[in-house]
Amino acid sequence: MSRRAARAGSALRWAAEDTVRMLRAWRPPERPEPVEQTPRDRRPPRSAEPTWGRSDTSATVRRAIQRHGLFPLLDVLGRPTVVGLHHLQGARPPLILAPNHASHADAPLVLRALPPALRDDTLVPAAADYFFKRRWLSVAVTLAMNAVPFDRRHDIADSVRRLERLLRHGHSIVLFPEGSRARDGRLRGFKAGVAHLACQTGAPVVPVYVQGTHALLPPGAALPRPSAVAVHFGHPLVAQPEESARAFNERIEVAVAELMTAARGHAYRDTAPRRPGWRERWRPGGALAAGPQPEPPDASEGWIARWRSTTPR
Amino acid sequence: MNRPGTVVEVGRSSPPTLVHNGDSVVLQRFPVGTRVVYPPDPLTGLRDPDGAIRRALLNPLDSEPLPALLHAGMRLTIAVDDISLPLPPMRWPDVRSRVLEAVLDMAADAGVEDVEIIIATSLHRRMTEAEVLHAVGRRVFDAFWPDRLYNFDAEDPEALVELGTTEEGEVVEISKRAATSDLLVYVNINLVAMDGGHKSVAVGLAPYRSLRHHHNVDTLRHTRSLMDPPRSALHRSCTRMGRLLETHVRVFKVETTLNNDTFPAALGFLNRRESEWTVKDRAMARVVAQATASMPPAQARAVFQRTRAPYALTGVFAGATEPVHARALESLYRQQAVPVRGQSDVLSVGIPYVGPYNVNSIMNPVLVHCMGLGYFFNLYRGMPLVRRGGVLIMTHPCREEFHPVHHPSYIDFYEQVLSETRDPERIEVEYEERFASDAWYRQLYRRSHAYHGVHPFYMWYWGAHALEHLGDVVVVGGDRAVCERLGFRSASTLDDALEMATQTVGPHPSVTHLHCPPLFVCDVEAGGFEAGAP
Repeated sequence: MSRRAARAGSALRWAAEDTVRMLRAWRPPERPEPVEQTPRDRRPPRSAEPTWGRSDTSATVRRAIQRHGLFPLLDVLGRPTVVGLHHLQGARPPLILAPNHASHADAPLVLRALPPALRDDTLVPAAADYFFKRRWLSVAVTLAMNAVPFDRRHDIADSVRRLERLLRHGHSIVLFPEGSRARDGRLRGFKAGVAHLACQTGAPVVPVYVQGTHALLPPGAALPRPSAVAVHFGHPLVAQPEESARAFNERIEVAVAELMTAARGHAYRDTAPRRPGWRERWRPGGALAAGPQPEPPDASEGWIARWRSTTPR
Repeated sequence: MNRPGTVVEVGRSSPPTLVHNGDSVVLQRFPVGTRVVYPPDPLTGLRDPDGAIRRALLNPLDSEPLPALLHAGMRLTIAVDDISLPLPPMRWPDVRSRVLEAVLDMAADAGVEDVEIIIATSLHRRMTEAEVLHAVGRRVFDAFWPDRLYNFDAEDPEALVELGTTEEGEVVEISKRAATSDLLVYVNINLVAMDGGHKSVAVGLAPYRSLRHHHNVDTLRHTRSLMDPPRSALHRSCTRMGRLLETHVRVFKVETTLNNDTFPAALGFLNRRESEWTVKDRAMARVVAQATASMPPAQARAVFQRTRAPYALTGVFAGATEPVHARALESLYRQQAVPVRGQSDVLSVGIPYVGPYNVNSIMNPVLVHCMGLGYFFNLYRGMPLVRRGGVLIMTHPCREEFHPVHHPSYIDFYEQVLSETRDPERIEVEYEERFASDAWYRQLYRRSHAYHGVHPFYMWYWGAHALEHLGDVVVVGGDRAVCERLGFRSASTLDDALEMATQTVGPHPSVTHLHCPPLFVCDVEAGGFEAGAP
């Protein structure tokens, strides 16, 4: 039998097995007693958590989609390599995977890189205002990636509470500490949400560096461009008993930056010196504060040292 | 060996010719016998551009090596060309970032602490942060922006200094920082023969008071042509000013030349001759022409303005201004020169989506005038491609649209000045000073991203030689009211335009079409092409 026929046979077998598994997992829908309609203004927001995505049926469909659609597509487009998987040996959910974020391809790539046992229990909080605005898209991301809505505009506290509950129920999550995709592919400042969740639940945080996705599918691009990608896992970090979320957040940021530096061989292309946000500059004494300004640092001091520190190796 | 540029005569079986039409392209059928001038094929780029740059800096022409000119405690200023070069903007890494990194490495080794980088914008708009980042590269940007890497400000009296007056009475005033430096390194991109040489410092770092001596109607009428510096009054004036300037400040020039690989692979058909198009090229040409024609103008513009050119470095020369410029011109002409025999009655050009003054912006009617009559008409050495009294046919939609941030003074120039007169001399005498000293335009130039108040006047003067030389200008597809304001005639089709041209040059005119961009310059010799009798 030729190799091609063997491969086709194997694919068919997988498809058949998944179909059987899906059919076995099917249950007739429960029909609860009709209840009084909640008035429109009291209805939960659209970001309310759909639980159907975590049913056995959905899990089976998700495995089929990932194995036969999503992951082969990623393999063709990105030829992904996985580095540092040994850090996850013996790790048990709940985990918080904290990757850098430069592309929509980040989350599926992290899922693809995870061992199947961990992957099945992993949820991907996704922006409710983007992925859960249109029904077809919300169904697609829920089925393909086990996405759950994260309302980053109106009700962040409630979204964080829901993630906390999911972590306590034993699910792992892929949560991007940068908040949204970096337009230029560089590492942006980390928000403290991941560290806060870890401090509250005690879940270990796995620093992850996803390399090359900005070239594969940059923000604004309609179609991906084939480009090699890699997923680097770091050693899981656990918040220390007295450690503040802010301090733990810095540790996570440093860990991801170190993974990136190790992966790329040099740091300057991706780590621009961090500029203070407007709130820091607005504070008394900040650059935007009214009144006399502090003298700017002498810019001539040390450009040579700065320049040398960015020399490509 | 690259294939040289050539002149192809349109025959009965020739495919339609691609003509740029602003934010679109059209496929036109020219009459049998029309000459189409094609650019040479792109030269192969230098295999090791960074190595070539370092070698040029270490072995300069008529100068000591750059490291020997650098020492601790000195004041070093580096000036670079602004967003008007190259066109379209090149893919990362921009050649400026390569040269800057090499120069700064040497400055760091020599321990030069006092270094500033000036974007030589002259009276052009200030570049945005993102544009500067693209031009100079991440490493330079992070180390110098914004305190020690900034746009030149020609309206800051504190930042300018007068160095003297030439024998022709031209006042030389430039950036004080550059003039008071121990060494000024100027990094050029010579996209066309007009760029580089003494013009870089004398124009790029100079204010209106200095520029008015050569950016005027009389000088530009005697500039024949802009692409032929020895025969250009503008360049002679710049040379006088540059020589005086170099008696005060030591200038180390770095001039770079690029090949003419202008469009990326997806738009590769724009780089090639129609007779050599593959099936894919034909399909792409049709798709691009149809799609951009049916899109709203803003979207079509966005599609083209996102294009980044895959230019490759073909030469880098460093050292004293004049020998460096001579070698850079040699390298440039090696890529761009196309021999053409004889003038024609009618010259046809398609105005593309981008010119030096509308990168990431809108090509407004005044800029269309400048592109057609200033730049395309001047793409010659020897004699113009079109005979005296001939007709220029431009293809462009010529809409009445302006970028309100970049071109505020253009709007008033179009509304207030061109509605009164189109005579460059009268415009210069009656209106120039008022626009140049207007406080609001000055404010927008200094604090926003606007071109200087006097800039639209220069765009009009740029066409002064062509206006004197030509008998008529017809715009294919141009808005009728706009063309009337500009002093042109509008035609719906190329056939109509040719028919209208016969009223000026007589029946059966000889026609030459420039298949440009990619850019080239025509070496026009007398005779060889029979012009139709007027």
